[in-house]
Amino acid sequence: MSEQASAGVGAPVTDERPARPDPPAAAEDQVVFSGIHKWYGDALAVHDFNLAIRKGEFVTLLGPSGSGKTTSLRILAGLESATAGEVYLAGRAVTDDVPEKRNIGLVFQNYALFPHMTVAQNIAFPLKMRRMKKADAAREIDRVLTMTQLTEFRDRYPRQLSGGQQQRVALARAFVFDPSVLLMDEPLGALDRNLRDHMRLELKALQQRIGATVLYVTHDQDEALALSDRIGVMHRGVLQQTAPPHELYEAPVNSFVAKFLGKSICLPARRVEKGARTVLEVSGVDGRVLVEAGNDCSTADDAEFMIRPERLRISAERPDAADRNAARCTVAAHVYLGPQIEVHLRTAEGAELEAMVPAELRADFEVGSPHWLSWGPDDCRFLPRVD
Amino acid sequence: MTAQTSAKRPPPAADIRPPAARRRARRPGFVTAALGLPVAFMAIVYAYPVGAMLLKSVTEPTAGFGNFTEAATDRTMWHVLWITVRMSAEVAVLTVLLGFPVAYFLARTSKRKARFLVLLVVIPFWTSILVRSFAWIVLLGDNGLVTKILEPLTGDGQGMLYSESAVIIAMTHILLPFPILIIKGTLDQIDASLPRAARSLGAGPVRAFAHVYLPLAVPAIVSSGMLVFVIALGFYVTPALVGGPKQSTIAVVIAEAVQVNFDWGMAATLATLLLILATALTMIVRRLTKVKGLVTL
Amino acid sequence: MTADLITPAPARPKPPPGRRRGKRSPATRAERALGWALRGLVALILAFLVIPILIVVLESFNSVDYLSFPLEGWSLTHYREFFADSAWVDATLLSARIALLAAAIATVVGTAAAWGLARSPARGKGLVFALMYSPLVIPIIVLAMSYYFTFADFRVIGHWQVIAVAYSVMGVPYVLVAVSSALQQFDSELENAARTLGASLPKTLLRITLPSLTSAISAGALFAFVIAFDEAVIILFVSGTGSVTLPRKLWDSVRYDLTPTLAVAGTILIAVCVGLFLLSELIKILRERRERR
Repeated sequence: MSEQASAGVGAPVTDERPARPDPPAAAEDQVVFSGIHKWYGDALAVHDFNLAIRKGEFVTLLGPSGSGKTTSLRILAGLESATAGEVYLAGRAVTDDVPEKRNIGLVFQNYALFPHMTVAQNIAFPLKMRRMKKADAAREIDRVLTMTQLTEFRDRYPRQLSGGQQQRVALARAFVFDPSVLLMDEPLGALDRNLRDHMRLELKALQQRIGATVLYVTHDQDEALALSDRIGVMHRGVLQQTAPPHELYEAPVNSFVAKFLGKSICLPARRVEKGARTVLEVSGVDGRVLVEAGNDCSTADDAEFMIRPERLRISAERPDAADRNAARCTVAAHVYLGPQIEVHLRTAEGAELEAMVPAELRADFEVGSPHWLSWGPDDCRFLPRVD
Repeated sequence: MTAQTSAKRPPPAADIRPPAARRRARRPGFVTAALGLPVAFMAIVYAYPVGAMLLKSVTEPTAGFGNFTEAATDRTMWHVLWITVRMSAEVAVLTVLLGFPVAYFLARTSKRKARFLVLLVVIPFWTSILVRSFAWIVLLGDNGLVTKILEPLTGDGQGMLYSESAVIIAMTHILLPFPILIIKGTLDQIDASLPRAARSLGAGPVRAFAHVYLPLAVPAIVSSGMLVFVIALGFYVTPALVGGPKQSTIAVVIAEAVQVNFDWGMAATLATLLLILATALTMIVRRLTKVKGLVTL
Repeated sequence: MTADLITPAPARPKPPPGRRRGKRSPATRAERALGWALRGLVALILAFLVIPILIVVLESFNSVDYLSFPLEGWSLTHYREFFADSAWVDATLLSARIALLAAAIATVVGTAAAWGLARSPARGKGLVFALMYSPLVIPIIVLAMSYYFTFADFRVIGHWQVIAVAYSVMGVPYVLVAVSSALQQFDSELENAARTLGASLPKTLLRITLPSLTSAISAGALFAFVIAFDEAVIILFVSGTGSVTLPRKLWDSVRYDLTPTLAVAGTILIAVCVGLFLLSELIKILRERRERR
C-alpha cells in the first residue's frame, strides 16, 4: 500500500491546495472528496479520489468512458456508495446520507424527466418534496421557467419537447430548489453538435447568473475547456491532474493528459543529464534535446518527450540560436484546415510528427521538400508515460 | 510539489484487494421488504399447502411409502396412467398439427389482419375451461350440432359424448391456443426476408419453407407440444364432464380418491406423482428449448 | 394485456414494418393454390376455436327449455329465469367478490415482488422468481388437493375470504410477469432522479414508479381477476356449502340437467372475462393512439 500512498495518485497536483484527509478547513470549500475508493467486486472503479471545489466554482471531470468520472459524481450524489473515503458537502460529512438528504441537484445524461408530469410539474417536484408553500413554489417555478426560456412550454409533457428543451427542463428542475451543488453528467451528450455548442453558452451564462457550484462530467474536451474554472482529468479510476484549462493544456503532468487534451506530439525519450536544463535523447530526433528544468516532470529517466504542434517552427535553414532544439525533416503531407495548415513531417531518423502553421505559408511546404524543425527548451516537456 | 506525484499509473488490480468488509453495510429495508413480504406470503399460502399435501402422501393413513407401493401394484392405476399419457400425447400432437398452420398464417399476414385474427384465438383462451367443456357437451350430445351433421355418416343419432373422441376433441379445442400463440411468437421473430433469400438462391417455395422456416420453428413446436402435454396430464374438468368412466385420467382418479373413497393418502400420493412428472417434463422442455418465460405480457 | 400473451421470452426487436408488404416475388399458380388452401385450413381451424363459444352464447337465447340447435326461437326467458333465481345471482356475486379480493391481493404481492426482484442484487433471485412463477405451471388438480387438505386441516372450507387468498396465489405469476416486463422498460434513473430531488424511497415509488406501471399493473390485476372468476377445479373441493361460486354452480348443474339457463351462466362467464379482456385491449389501443399524437 505504501507505494500507492506515496504516489498520491489522485491529488490535484497543480492546484495550490492539496487534498486533505480531514474535514475541509477552508470555509469556501463547498464540496470535498477525500480519499474516495470504489470497488465493484474485484474491479477498482475509483482510486483515492481527492478533490475540493470552492463555492461558485465550475469544475469538470474529463476523461474517457470508464475512467471513473461518473462513478465519482454519483458517489457525491449518494446514488453509489463509496467503498472507502468521505464526501463533505458545505463542511458536513454526507457519506452515509441518503440521496434525498444531500440537497444536490443532478442533471442526468438522459435527463430522467418524469414522463407523466408536465414541465411545470417536473420543476415543482423538488419544491413539493421540500413542502414549500404553494404560492412560493409557484413564484420559484415562474422564475426558473423564465430563466430557462421555458414559460410557453410549462404545460407540455417531456415527450412533446425537443432535446434542447428537455435539457433545459432537467436543468431547471435541478437548480430550482437552490441545491448546494449542481452536478451534471454529460448533460449535452444527447444533443446534436450545433445545439450542443449553443447550450454550452447558455449553461455557462446560467451558472454565472445563479452563482452555482458545479461539478460537471464529460468526455468532450471542448466542452470542458469552454465551461470550466478547473478541469480534472480522469483515467482508469485515477484523477491525473486538476488545473485551470490553460494550465492543463500548457503544462500537462503526464503523457495521458497531454494526449487527451488537445493535439500533442509524444515521443519516447531518455534523460541523459539533469541541471538547469534537462538533456534528452529523443527517439527519432537527431542529437540532444534541451528541456527547461521546470518542464521536466518525470522521476524516471525513461519517459516521454512532448510538444504541442503549434510550438514547432519550420524553416528552410537551421536556426542560429544555440539553445534552440532543431531537427532535419522532410514534408510528408499537408492538410488544409482553413486558418491553419497541418504539416506532416518525417525527421531524418524516421519519426513522424505534425506541425501547425498559418495557412498563408502553404506554398512553402511542397511534399518531399527538406526543412528544419525547431523549438525552444521551454516549448517542450519531459513527461511520465501514462497510457 | 510538482507533477511527479501524479504521474503514477493506476495500480494494477492485483496489487490491491478490495477491503474485506465494506465500511458501510448496505441498509436492508425497502428492497428487502418488497421481496420478503411476498416471499413470506407465498411460503405460507402456497408453499405450505403444497408441502403439507406432499407430506400426506407418506403419512396418511400411516407413515411410510405404503401408498406408493399400493399405487405401483394396482393394475388399474397403470391403466389410468396409460390412458392419461396416451390422451395427452394425442392432444399434444393434434394441437401442434392444427396450431402450426394458423401460427404460420398469422405470422405472415398483415399486422392489422393478424391483430384481429389473434383475437379469435385469445378470446377462446380467456373463456373458462368449464364453459368450453360445457359447449362440447352441447355440440356432441344426442341433439348436438356435430351429432346432427355427422348423422348421415354414422347412421344413428347417437352423440359421441362420454367417449375418448369427445375428450380428445374438447381438450384439443381448449389447448389449441397455446401452440398457436407460442409458435406465432417465434415465427414473428424470424425475418421474413430469410425464406425470400432462400428462394432467390433457387429454392422452390416448398423447399424454402422446409429448409428455412421449419427448422427455425422447431424449438417452438416442440416446446409448445410438450407444454400442452404437461397441461393435459393434469386436466380434470374436461375428462370428468365430457368423458365416461373409461376415460378416467389421473386427475379424475385423484378427485375420486378424495370425494368417493375419502382416501387422502392415495389422493396425495397420486398428486405427488403427477407433480413430479409435470415438473420433470417442464424442466426437460426448458433445457431443450431455452424457452424461458411462458407468459410474457 | 396483449394478444401475444404467450411468446417465448425475451422478445427481440421487431423487424422493420412493411417487410411483409414489400416487393413480392411473382407467385406461380401452384403457390397461389397453396396459399388459398392454407387460408381455407386456417379459416376452418379458427371456426373450430370460435364456434363452440358462439354456440353457448346462442343457446342462452333459445326459446325452449332444452338445448337444441338450430335454435327453436329467440327469447330472453332464460335470462329472466337466471336473474330471478337467487342461487344463480348469489353465485355470480360471490364469484365477483372472491375475484376482486383475489385480484387485489395478487396485485399487491406480485407488484411488490416484481419491484423487489428488479432492484435487488442477483443472489437468490432465481429461486424467488421460481417460487412466484410456479403456480402457473403446477397442475391445477395438485393445487386443488393441497388447498383441500389444508382447508380441511384448518377447518376453513367454505370461507370465501380464504378461498380468495388461495386464488390470489394463481394470479401472482401473471402480475409478476406483467410488472417485471414493464419494469424492464422503466428507466430506473427516474427513481434516482426523484431521490436526488428530495423524495424518500416510499415517496419515489408512489409518485414516480407506480404511475409508470399502471397499465402493466392493471393488466396483471385483470388476469388475476379472470383466473379467480373462472376457477372451476379447486372450488369443487373447498366450496363446502357456504361458497358456491358461479363455476361451482354451473358444474353442479351440468351434471344433472342441461338447460339453456346453464348457457346463460356460461355466457355470463364468457362475457365477464372476454369483456374485460376486450376492454383492456381497447384501452391499450387508445393509449397507443394518444401517445402517437
